[in-house]
Amino acid sequence: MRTAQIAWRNLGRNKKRTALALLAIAVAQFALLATDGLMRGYSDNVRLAITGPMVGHVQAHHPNWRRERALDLAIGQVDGIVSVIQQDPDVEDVSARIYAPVLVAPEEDAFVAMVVGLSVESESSKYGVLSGLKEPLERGKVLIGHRLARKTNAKPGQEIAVVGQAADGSLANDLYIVQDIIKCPADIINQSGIVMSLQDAQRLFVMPNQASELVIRAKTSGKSRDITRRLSENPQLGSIEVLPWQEIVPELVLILKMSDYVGYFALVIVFVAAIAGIANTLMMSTFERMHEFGMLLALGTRPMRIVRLIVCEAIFIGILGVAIGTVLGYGFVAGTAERGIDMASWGGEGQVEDMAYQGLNLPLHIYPRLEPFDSLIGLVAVIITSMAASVWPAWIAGRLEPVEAMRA
Amino acid sequence: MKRHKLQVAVISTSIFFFSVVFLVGNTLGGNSAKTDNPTKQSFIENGEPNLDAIIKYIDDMYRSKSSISRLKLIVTKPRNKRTLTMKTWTKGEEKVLVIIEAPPREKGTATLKIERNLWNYLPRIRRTIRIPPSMMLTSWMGSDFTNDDLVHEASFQKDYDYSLVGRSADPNGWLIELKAKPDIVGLWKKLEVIVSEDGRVPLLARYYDRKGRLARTLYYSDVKNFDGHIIPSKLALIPEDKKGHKTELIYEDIDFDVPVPDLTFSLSNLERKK
Repeated sequence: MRTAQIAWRNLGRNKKRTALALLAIAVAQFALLATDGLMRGYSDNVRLAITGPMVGHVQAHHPNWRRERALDLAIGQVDGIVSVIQQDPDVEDVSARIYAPVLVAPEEDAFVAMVVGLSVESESSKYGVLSGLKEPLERGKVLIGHRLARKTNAKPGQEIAVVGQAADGSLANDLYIVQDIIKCPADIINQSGIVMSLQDAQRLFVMPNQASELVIRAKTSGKSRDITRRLSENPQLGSIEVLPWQEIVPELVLILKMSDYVGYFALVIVFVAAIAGIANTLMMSTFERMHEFGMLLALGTRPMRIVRLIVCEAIFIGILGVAIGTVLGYGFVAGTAERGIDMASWGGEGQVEDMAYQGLNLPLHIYPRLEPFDSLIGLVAVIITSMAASVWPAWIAGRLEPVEAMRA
Repeated sequence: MKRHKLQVAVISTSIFFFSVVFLVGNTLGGNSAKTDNPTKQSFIENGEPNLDAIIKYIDDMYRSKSSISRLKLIVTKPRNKRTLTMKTWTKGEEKVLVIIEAPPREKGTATLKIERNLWNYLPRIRRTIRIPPSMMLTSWMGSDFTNDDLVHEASFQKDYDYSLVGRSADPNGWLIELKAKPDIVGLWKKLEVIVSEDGRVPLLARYYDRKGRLARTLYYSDVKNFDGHIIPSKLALIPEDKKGHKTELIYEDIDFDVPVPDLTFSLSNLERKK
């Protein structure tokens, strides 16, 4: 009978021992995949928070706007510029925005706020600021960030005064109806945002056909630098500054990298723990069979065949365990990917719904995600570990004196 | 989006009139305890300036029991320049009313200050709004006057230890150094004030921040006689860190100690003036 067949049969001889080894490997593979899925989900959250509603993949500004953020440093003829940008093959959509610090007064008391004037149509898309809004934002109406609304006690349907300084330095003031209170992935809007249509903002701040910023969303996120290069070289855009999101928010790129490193670190810890568990289980199960190996040697089995037998058993157990763990891991991710996992609810009483950093909300509702080849890391690692963990006891078993081994 | 930058922009926002009213309030706000016209005092004794008299004079220079004045505010920035003319009424240190007369877009906009409260009446939308206290400690649109200067009823006599440095060559006069007292919380660590040879007119004041860096210079010029008060009618503030920025305040006419009824400084009056 071939060694591999004997090894396969051996797995069924002591079911409890085999089940224990399989469990250790399956749990390790499951833990690896689940951690990997959660980390990918969290990383997706951070990337989406950055490139989604507020920053986009590419931005265009007046060359000096980012330094001063003054209203008069605007992009002119914005309709034409937007049309030019939309012709780029990798651009999904373009949103023109105006940002202006103001005072807002639902009643007599005024509060510090920030007007965000934006293109209602493009911002209503999946990753726009107005995504998920029940009714489109109307002219003459505004949306108020939920934290600002709480502070100012503004209610839907209420008339509020918005007062600021126009691009020409004159006094900008007008009345608007609160259409709704919004909760947005951009924390700056939640905290102090008065969102109105671009046309209303252009009129309020005396900025005809002008915008402070163009937020460009790419069809695929990896195209931001290609789009930037093409737009920067486009003579129709004149001196407009075009930058990819990585250069707009470099500190967030750093955070993203840090988040990835933390993820890798967590993965390595889980990995080491899993490997240690597998190695321990396999070594123990091999050592407890020394009496059996002594018998085989006494019957004339060659030492190398015993070594091959043990290693084969370990590889079979490894593959089976990884398969079970992979099914469990992908099952976990598939089961939670749709509805996500609300990490915030783990906080107990007084929980927070999200974290904010640099004006961006980092939602704590995580949707785990795995790449097709993620399980291969576990498979390769577990098989190598299984072999390594069995070779040493197998080598010892092969060098046993049969009589001594049978006495053990 | 860089949140901190946006927040700085938001926090530093106020309305134009906000700064004006405090500026006016502190320059024209009356000190009812004042009795003598300091213009008649002698500031040079034995060839040396009498610092106590000079500092008190600068503190009280624009103050009176009440006043009605017309003034012009010119805000110069690298890319634009705006001029506003306005009429102001003051009574004591605590009550100030400013009404914009030009340009037309702002005409009729009124600002009322009573003690530490500040309201704006906006005729276009017929609304009166109260400026939040948090604005009192921030700068105005990143402009040259900070709200702290304007709101804070600073007194050189009370808040600073002063000493004579010596004669100044450019401009000609006496250089006085004022160091903030240790228990005074404020933006400025030190001031250098140069007064004229006779000690009667301040020529400029240099403001040094808490790190000892020169932050801005306030120039006094165009000395005029308003109702027997001989005072510089033009103040120009030039910040060190903002190239091309300047804010000028020009008094065209000031009537000191004229009757101003209390009713002038009421919210209902503010809205009636539309």
